[in-house]
Amino acid sequence: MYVAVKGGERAIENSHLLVSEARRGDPSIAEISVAQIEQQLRLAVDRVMTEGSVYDRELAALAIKQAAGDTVEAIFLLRAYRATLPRFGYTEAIDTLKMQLRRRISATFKDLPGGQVLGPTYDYTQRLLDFSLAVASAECGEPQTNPPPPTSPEQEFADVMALLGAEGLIEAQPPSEGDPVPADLTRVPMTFPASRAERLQNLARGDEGYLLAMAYSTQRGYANNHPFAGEIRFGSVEVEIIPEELGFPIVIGELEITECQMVNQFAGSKTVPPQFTRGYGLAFGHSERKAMAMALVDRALRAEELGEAVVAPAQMQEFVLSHSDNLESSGFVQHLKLPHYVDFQSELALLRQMRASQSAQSESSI
Amino acid sequence: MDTFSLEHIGAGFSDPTAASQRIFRTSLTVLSRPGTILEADSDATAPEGIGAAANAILLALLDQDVALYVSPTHVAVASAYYRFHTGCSITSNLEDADFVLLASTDRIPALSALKTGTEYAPELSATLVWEVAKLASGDGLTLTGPGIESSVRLTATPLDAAFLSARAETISLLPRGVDLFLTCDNRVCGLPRSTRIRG
Amino acid sequence: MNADVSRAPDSSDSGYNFAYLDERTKRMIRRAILKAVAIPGYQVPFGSREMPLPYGWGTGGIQVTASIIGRDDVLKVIDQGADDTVNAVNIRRFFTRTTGIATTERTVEATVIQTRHRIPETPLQDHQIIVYQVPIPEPLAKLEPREAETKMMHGLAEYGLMHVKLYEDIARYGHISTTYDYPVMVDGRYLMAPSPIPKFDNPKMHMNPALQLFGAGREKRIYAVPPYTKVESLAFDDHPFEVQRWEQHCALCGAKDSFLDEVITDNDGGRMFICSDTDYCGQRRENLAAVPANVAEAKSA
Repeated sequence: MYVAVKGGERAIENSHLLVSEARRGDPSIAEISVAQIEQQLRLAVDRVMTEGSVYDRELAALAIKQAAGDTVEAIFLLRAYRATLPRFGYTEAIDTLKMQLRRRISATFKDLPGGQVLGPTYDYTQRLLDFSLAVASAECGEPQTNPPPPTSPEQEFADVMALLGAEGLIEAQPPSEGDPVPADLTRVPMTFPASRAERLQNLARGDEGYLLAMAYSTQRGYANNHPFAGEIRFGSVEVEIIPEELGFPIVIGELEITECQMVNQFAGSKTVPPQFTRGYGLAFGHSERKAMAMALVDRALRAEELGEAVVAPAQMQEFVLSHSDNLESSGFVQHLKLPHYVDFQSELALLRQMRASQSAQSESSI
Repeated sequence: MDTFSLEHIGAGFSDPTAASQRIFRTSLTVLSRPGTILEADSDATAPEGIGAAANAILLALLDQDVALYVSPTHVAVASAYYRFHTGCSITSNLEDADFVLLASTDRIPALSALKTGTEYAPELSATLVWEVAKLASGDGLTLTGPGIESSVRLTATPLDAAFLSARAETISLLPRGVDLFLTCDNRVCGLPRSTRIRG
Repeated sequence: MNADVSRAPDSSDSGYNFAYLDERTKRMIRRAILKAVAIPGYQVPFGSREMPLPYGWGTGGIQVTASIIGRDDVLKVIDQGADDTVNAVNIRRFFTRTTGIATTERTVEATVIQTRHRIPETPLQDHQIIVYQVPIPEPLAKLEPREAETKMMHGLAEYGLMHVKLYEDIARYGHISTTYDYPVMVDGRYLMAPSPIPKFDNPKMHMNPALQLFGAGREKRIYAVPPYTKVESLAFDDHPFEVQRWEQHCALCGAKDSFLDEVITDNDGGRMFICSDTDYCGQRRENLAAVPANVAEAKSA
């Protein structure tokens, strides 16, 4: 007598126990703390905050611990948490010109006001495995010469865009007429064509690996951006709100962010003289790869607006934006693990029926 | 519009989570079964002149994301109440309203003056909560269409010939249109745009 | 204010609101459901939220269920027709944890049935609501992936593309090769994806006394078929719509009228066919056991 498999509930509970056990690993090794993750895996924390759309280092670190280091799973945990949070209000737009810089580079000018600040970057580390890290050490080396002190919030350095803008060499970017409140794609689903504000929101939450591949494709001839890294900034900015009862802004905290402004090939017309065009990228924490990829894809998605032929994948709004979210893509790819007995049975039955009628036909034709 | 201070505002639902769910389910049932009349009571204190059913439906469905147009008959007493309890915005333009509350004594507006959506986004359309003088099963109008097994009769005064011809015009707009909740005291009946009405 | 009760202390599992979603999200979804009911078969966009279950695993159905469900409801959750598949168990656990409401495996006892890929064999009644989990709500998506284009087609009721596809199937295979998620016309106006139910279940949608709601979380769409609404499966005069039939009957309950799952029983490809609807099969077996053995034998013979 056949008995169908039962006990789904117990199986699920057991699976949770097995996950905990696997996450913990060898219990004779000290357990990693959330604070350690927050401090020592800071770039993973930054990515999880960016794509998880929540700026909270501790929660991001917790999510990374819970997900056993699976970044996409950690992003999922943070997003699901975010969806339950009430909204208290909206901040004023942050001003990246007032960023307290820890790093700032431009690939377009050798020197510029405020100078090039190399800051903490892996760019010029020679990628040799550092075996000294294999042993826990108490001290890390101090920089030989002190880095320039972080810029003070009062200091404002014109960015490359402003310098080019002064000469009219780059497109101006005035606020849209009436400076309307941008659509919030976590509340209202995107429709196509999507506004640039919605596109940038989508890209900011988008999967870094996906955006990287899309951006890379634009450099290999699938859309021609001809990009220059005008300016990449990493540092902290103040976040302000204007409480209704006060009527003036107050600072409620600081964010670490990475901003990338790409300068791209010019556009122009008979009436508008040629100008460079912009691509913009912004990410929480120190996330240069993400911000740069985002800026390249943003520029590619402006093809239609700038009168360019839409021929490459990275220029196709609906294609790029509908597939960027790793919660959506990871969930749907992995849902193939769910039972599909019924659909499969339907296909099996049809296939057998078609094969039977075909062999009956070929027999009768003999 | 805010001529009332907070202490003049009547109570909303005492248990918003449970009451909103229950009233929504009533709304869902009557809208998916046009002609069915159900009771929609709540423990909220409706602004003077507004029936219990109309009030409960608005309290259950409105929030910060929608704009409400309130009948001139009720606007003075009701605007602050709905804004306070639901966070909705109040509009004086019919064509901007997501929800419209009309009194039985109001002149029946041309339905095409309300938001009817577009052929590509017909959901961006108004929901009209209309307090009628009489609401009863049987006699009157004959309703057919989705939600109705064969046909159902409904008496709703003043759904007169003028209304029927106005609605017949909006039928030609389908899938654009306006969806109605007809209320009378604590009773409600749904009349979605998909319902065919014969006088 | 009503709108700020997202942390109301009335949940059965600490920290979250009744049925998990905050009240404002529920209102947004409820308004979308009402519009969906008023425009049968039309896909209403909604601000789908990230849920604590992955996209593609029933988040649309879960959001719809969470928005309609109340303390007096009795919930049934099935996947592939079965109450005991892991995914169904997991979703049922989710609602038990977040609402504390009663659940059942009996179709007749349920007021709300959330389903993936099947409509129960036991006919639904007019006090019931069935909520379908939908992976791809757009019936034209496989033919035209661009939403900007399919939106136009729905607006103009221009569905020639689908007829051409079905006709090409016939030309190539001699059959329409779609066996599940078989497209339907709702109330003669909108082409609709019935979700990946086998086409065996399509006729059950037509003039069904229950309200049918469809939730697609990842694609952010909700749509509905009100009770007693015409639902026609697409067909041609010379190729009428047909449902699957089996030569076998259920090896457990003997049913000849239900959708059968094929189960491989040994390494030599031995197989048997059993009802996909576990409640239907179980009820039949109970009824058979309740009558004297000789009558049962005579019945199943």
